[in-house]
Amino acid sequence: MTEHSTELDLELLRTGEADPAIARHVAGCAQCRDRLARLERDARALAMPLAAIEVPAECDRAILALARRRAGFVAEQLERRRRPRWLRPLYAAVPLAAAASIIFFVTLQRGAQAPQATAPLAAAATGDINRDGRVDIVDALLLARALKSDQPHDPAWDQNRDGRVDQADVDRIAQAAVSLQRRHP
Amino acid sequence: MAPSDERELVARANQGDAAAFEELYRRHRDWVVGLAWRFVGNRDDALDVLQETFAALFDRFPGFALTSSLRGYLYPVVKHRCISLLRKRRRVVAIDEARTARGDLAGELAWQPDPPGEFAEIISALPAEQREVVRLRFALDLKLEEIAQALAIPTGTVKSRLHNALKVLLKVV
Ligand SMILES: [Zn+2]
Repeated sequence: MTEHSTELDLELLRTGEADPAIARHVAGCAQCRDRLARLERDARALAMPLAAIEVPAECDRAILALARRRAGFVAEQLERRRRPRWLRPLYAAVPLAAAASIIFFVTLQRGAQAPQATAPLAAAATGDINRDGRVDIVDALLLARALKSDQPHDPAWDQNRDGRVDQADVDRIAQAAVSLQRRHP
Repeated sequence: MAPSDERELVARANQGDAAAFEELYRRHRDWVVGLAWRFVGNRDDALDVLQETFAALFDRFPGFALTSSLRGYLYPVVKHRCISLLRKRRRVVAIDEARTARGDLAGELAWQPDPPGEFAEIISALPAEQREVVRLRFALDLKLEEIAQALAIPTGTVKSRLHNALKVLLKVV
């Protein structure tokens, strides 16, 4: 003798999520068919369609504009990934505001590696903090991290030569990085 | 599982296809704003949540992975945005205390009353976690997997909550 279906079995059958064996049992069992019919009635009573809220056209426009902007950003990201690795930093035209917020976020999130204060300093005042031969957003990032950490400040990090190593120096490198990218797109 | 055309849309959006982004919005707009209204009870706030929800969704691209369905994904986003909005308006206070004291779910405090009917009383008598599953199942018409994703719980847990709730609702103990 096959056992009758449980309420859960019947509920899953109602929405087409049940095991085929349950469907087979119910097809051949008058009692379970009755219970399923009752459950269908109850489910209708429980149904509570969401209210139709009118969305103003300007709200649609704002969200659709956001959709298109994001699509453009995604496409650009993918395009950039397809470029040769050594070209990437030149193409990475990060707007200054975005760069600043990334720097803030990253320094907040991680106390990661900072440049070594004891390393030779000659190149640093040009903005090339990690001395990889170019000034890019990575340099701004590294300096921002160094400022957050406890390590002593290297006087050569003083980009604007105001006698202090601070956020203004980070901003200066970020700005330099962005304008370099704009000049060599 | 998400319908294959929904997966297809997500895949296209992950490639930066603007039409796919727009279609995702068109398909889910009414559901999202209706759900938001259920939580906040007024149109202006529901529209704010609509914008925030889609801004958050779009930000997930590229690299968005659809695990169940978009509704399953969107439900907690809408719910949490509504709750934080209500909290800002001070209509919901001390949610955490309420949760501890009454075993309640934050969303419960905001959810608009169920329509009067033979089940309203029984639903309100269910434990909060069963009540939310019942609403997702019957009011919002979600499948098991979607509910599991929406509540970030295993499918087996959804099944047992639904099973227990049904026993009460159908009065077959
Ligand atoms: Zn049977």
